[in-house]
Order: sequence, then structure tokens, then C-alpha cells
Amino acid sequence: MRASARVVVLLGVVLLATGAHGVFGAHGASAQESPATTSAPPTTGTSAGPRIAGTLQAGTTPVAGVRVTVDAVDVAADPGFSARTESGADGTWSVVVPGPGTYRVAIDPATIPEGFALADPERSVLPRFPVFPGATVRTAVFELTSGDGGGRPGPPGRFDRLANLFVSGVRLGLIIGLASVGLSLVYGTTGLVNFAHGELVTLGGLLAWYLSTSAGGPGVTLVVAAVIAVVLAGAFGGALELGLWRPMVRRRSGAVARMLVSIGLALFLRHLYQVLFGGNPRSYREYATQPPFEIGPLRFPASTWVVMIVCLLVLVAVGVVLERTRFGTRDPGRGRRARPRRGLGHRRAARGASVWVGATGLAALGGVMLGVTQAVQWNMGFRLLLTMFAAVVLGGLGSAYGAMAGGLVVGVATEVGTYWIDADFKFAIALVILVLVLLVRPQGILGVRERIG
Amino acid sequence: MDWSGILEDGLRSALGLLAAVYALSAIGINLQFGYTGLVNYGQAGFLLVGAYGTAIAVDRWDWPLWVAFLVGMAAAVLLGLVLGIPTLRLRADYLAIVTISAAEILRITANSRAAQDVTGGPQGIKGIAGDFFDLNPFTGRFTLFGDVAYSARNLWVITVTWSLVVVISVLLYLLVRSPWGRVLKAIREDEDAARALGKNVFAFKMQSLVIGGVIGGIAGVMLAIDRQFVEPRNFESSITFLAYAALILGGVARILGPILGSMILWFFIVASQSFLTEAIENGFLGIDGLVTRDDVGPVRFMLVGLLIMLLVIFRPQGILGDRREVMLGE
Repeated sequence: MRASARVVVLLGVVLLATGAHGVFGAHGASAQESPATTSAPPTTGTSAGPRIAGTLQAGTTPVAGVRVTVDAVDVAADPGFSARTESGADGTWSVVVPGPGTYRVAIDPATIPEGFALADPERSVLPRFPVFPGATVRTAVFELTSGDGGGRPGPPGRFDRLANLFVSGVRLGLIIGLASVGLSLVYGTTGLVNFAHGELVTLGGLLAWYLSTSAGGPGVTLVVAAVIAVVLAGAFGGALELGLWRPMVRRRSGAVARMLVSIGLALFLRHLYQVLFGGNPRSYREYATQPPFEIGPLRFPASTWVVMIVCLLVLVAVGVVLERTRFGTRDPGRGRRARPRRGLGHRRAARGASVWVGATGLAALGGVMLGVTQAVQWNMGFRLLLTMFAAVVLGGLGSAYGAMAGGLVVGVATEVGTYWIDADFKFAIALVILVLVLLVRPQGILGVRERIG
Repeated sequence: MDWSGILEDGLRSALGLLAAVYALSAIGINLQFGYTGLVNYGQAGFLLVGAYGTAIAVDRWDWPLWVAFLVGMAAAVLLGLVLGIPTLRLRADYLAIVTISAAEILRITANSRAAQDVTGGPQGIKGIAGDFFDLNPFTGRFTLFGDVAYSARNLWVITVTWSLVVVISVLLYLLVRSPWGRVLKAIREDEDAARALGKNVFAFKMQSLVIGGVIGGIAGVMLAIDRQFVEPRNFESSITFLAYAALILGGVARILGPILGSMILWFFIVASQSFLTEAIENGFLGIDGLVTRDDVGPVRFMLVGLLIMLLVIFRPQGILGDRREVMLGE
């Protein structure tokens, strides 16, 4: 493929992007709470803006004197906004905010009076609380219980809390493992450290949202939407390999050049998603509200168990493909071979494309699972990217099983770690693990020694 | 369409503070990546420790700004050592992943409530550069031409920052032509060969990483001085990637590459933003049907991403570069 052909491919991507905007944009603006509909800058001062408010009560008893803080996370009008207040004698509180955007709303558990407690100790912070354009009052809910058992069981004990954190860690770990197997396989077969992998995860989550929940989409059930999203994303991955990466390899572009191109691609895709879907986090229709489903001390929505089972089954299937089929046993992605291949022959080239299709499909499925357990957002994959790197390096760069094992370790460590460490540092735990692994055992748990130096 | 307004907006930022700060960041990356072959994706972290080191020393310890500046530089040296020791013996991929992770850890830590007493958390630290602006010799408004004008305050920061760019570039010019610089290039071309010649490759890489990081730290301090304010969101990893874009645009392993690249990049970013805003208001070429004003920010980043891809694929040596000296090409 000559240079001109590559221009055509890139132009195609751009055209698709702008064309798609017509589709998504029209529906988004009409039906959803798209942030694109505000263009007037908010009036200055804090008196005119919308409010975030709530009432703190345990059952019907108001809880007074609890400190509430509201900080801007992503607010165009005043990125540095921060305010605190206390609940009044009737339990109500209210904060005037500078404009629409995303806020972090938190109550300080230390200020909850004696005899009351959070119904769920995890829920003292709403990290991404959206205020939509045009809204005047948004209600933030924090559930409290009175110590004498007002309706709900009292605050869970130490063991219960650890058990819950462990399960949510396994859930996160399985999702990370699923999403990052592809990252590791791509590295193992082509030597590319793909900084755009997070955007492939996002692609799955967003496509499934469009197909299942968007007002303009076909509105199929989430299972069908997930399957279609994985197929479409897989096709996109194959197209990337054929239209972008393989021509670069053929031109003998080095690993660093391809890494930089993946950064450019990530910037492009991520902000394309932002234009198409807007900035707000969204949920799948079926999972917008999820009642808890209790097993012993574990309180999780039913979807948690479904997500974990799906992830496990798919990971086992990936293992079977790698172990039992000709495709898998000759694939260097399992870490048997030391070097990425140069000068792909015809057969190997076909395998390269299928690795990309599989890697992108798995990443997309990980994105759907992440969307079910958290929310769908334009940067959801990017926020997971460094955690995926941590998992992959921990397991051994290029090893598929390593990515699964690394994902589990990282997921459990980050969640359970919040028992002792401030939840702000959740994400940093994964990265600290990463740095420590490189100090102690740089080839990772399942990696090959000769690959590292 | 106000074409001259768009050009003036672009030109004002091509000569402005951000262009100078990104030029400094890219000069540091140029030493590490261009001359030594080290893939440092954590330059934002070096800017952060430089800026926070200075701000904490001024605000929390009441030290004079110039001493605080040295604290910031010491913090950048320390960060370089901490990052280099585990990773410089490993392959380039690992340094890339660890540096970007470290930059994120630093940003999360600076933003966290646990560190609020030291870093101010999300609110940051305000009012750190009184000493600097007391020295401002300029008065009144300076107009280059048309709307390309700067206030006395801006002119003072810009003059100092661009002077730093020139001084550091001259020093770097001398350094890379010294025997020391030749060893760096040898390491970039073939690490094993350099080692076979008895060079301590690890030590040279470490020196390159630390010096490049300190130049990044200076960039961070100038950014903080201009804002009179440090806050975590100023140090996101997009800084690093924009600086790489500037470097590749201008030319890797060229002294003037990062400077020219940063000026052109900022012209491109700001002019494209003005253009989009104007085009949406005036319905130019039907653009208003495709994007709204809120999309201008993201579209700008899409264009930067596309620019990086096209440059690396079609012209990895950038504007000034020499293909033989660039590790991106064949």
C-alpha cells in the first residue's frame, strides 16, 4: 500500500466520524440531556447558578450538622469551584453551584452525629455528580441509618466490609483482565504498546449504549447490543491493523513511531467520542437503577454476579482458543517467543489481523461490562488505561494469561486497598504496584526474562 | 469571517507564554528522546514537581522565590533519579509506561484530600510569584502590531520565559556537540556498542533523564508563576503529548526543532479554535451544522491527534529534522 492509499484510509475515518455525528448528534440533542445544548455562558456570581441540595435523614429522623462538600470535577464555568456546608436542623442542605457540569459531592462521615451511620459506608462520596444544563435543583441522596436499626441493618462489621471490597475487587479485576488480554496479545504479536487501547474499551461501552439505550438507536436489549458492539469493534480493530499498523510495519516504522501514532489515534478517538456523546456519564437502560441482591454479607446488584460469570466464561474461552487451536498454539502472544516478528509473511499477516479483531472485540466486551458496573462515558477507557498497563506489566508484557492474572491482582489490590488507604489513592495503588514490579521482577509473573532488557 | 483576527489570535499565542512553556518541555524531551532515545511520557510529572516544589516552599515555608525555585529543581532531580533507577536498565516500553504512571500518581497525590495540608488538594496553592512581578521593569501595554498585544505583566513573564528558552538551547547546543553529547547519540543508535566501548550507559542515560526533567521542571515553574497558582489539573498527561507533538513537528534531535514546533503548534491550536468559533457563528461552509461551540475544545484535540499521526507516518523528521538522526524513521 502506497502513501496515497493511507491518506484515503485516514480520510475515510474522518468522513465516517463526521457522518456519524449527523446520526448521533441529531438524536442526542433532541432526546438526551446533551450538554451541547447550552451555549450561553453562565451568569457570573454564585447566586444565579443551579443548586445541588438534599435532605439527610435516617428513616424520618433528620440528621443535623453533617458537613457536605461540593467540588467541581469538570465544570466549564468555574473549574476550581469548591464549597462546603452543613445540614440544618431539618436535615436539609443546599449549595449553589456556578453552572452545569460534573461535581464531586461528599459528606464527611466523621461529622455524622452519634447514633447515626451511613447505610453503605462506601457511599459517602458521589465522585461524578452531573448537573445538567437547564436544571435548577439537583438532589444528591446519601442514605443514613440510625444505630437502633431503623429499617436497614446497622453498619456492616469489619469482615463484611472486607468481603464486599474483595468481591468488588474481583469484579474489577475480571473486567481489567478481559479488557487487557488484547493489549497484551497485540504487544506479543506486533510489539506495539498500544496507547489507544483504552479507546477501544470505550468504543464497546458507547456502541452498546447507542444500540440499547440511545433515543435514536434501535433500542435492542443489552445482550444483543453487546454482541453487535463486540462484532463492530472487532471489525474496527481489523480495519486499523490493515489500514494503519500493517502499512507502518511495511514501511519499517519503529516501535516508538507506532507508539506515538497510537497516542495520536487515542487523542483523536477520545475527543471524537466526546463530540458524539457529550460529556455526561450515562447508564444502560436495564441497569439505570439496580436494587441490591444479598448473598450473606455481600450486597451487590444482581448485575455484578452476571458480569463476573460472563467475564470468567470469556476468559476461559480465550484460554481454550490459545491452548487448543492451531491459531493459538502458534501465536507468540503467550510469551513463548521473545521478539515481535518483522516482515510479516502472508499467513502470519492473516493472523496479525485476527489478533487485532480478537483483541478489540475483547476490549469492547470489557467496555460493556465496565459500563454495566459503573457508567458509560467518553473517557471511561482512558481512565482505565494505566490500570490495564499495570495489569499487563505485572502479568508479563505479551502474555495473555499474565494479563488475566495481573488484572485480578490489580483489581483486588485497588479495591481492598481502600480499606486502609484513602479512596482518592485507589488508582495510584495500581501504579505503585507497577513500579514495584519493575523493581523486583521486571518480566512480571508469567513473562519471559529475555524480553525485558 | 474575521480572517485577520484569526491570524492575530494564532500569532499572539505562537509568541505567548504557553508556546514558551511547551518549548521548554519539548526541549527537555528532545534531550531525552531525540538525543538519547529515552521515551519519557511523564514530562507532565516533572513540570508538576517543579511547580509544586516552588509553590510549597514559597507558600508553606515562606522562602524567597529564588530559593524556592531551587527547591523545585531539586524535586525534579529527585524524580528523575527515582524513575531512572528501576527503568533505565529495561527496554524503552517500560520507561514509557512507568513515566506516564508516575506522572499520574503525582497528580492524583497532589489532588488528594490526604495531601491537602501540603498541596492544597484540588484548590491548589495561590499567589506564589509576588517576588517575580515586583521586579517587572515594563509599564503600559506593548503592541507588536494589530491585535498582537501584551500587558506589561504578560510581557515580563513572556520575556523571561523565552530568554530561558534561548539560554537553555544554547547550553544544549554546546552539550550535544561535546564528547558527552556524542556518547548520548551513540547510546541512541546502539546501546550495546556504547557499552562495548567502555561507556557507563546507565550513568549517561540517567544524566540525560535528569537534565531533561529539570528543564521540564523550569517549564512548570514558569507556568505556575504566570498563573500565580498551581493546581493538579494543570499537569495532566496531555501536556506531555502536546510537547511531543511540538517536538516532532519542529524536528527531533534538532536544537531549534522544539522551539519552532511549539510556536507552530500553538499557532495551529489557537488559530483553529478561533476559526471554528468564527465559522460556527457565521455559518461558514456549513460547519455550524456539524459541530457546536461546546465541541470546539474536543475538535481541537482531535486535530492535534490527527496531526501527530500524520506527522509520524509521513514526515517523522518534522520540519527541520534529518531522517538519519531520527529514531522514528527507518
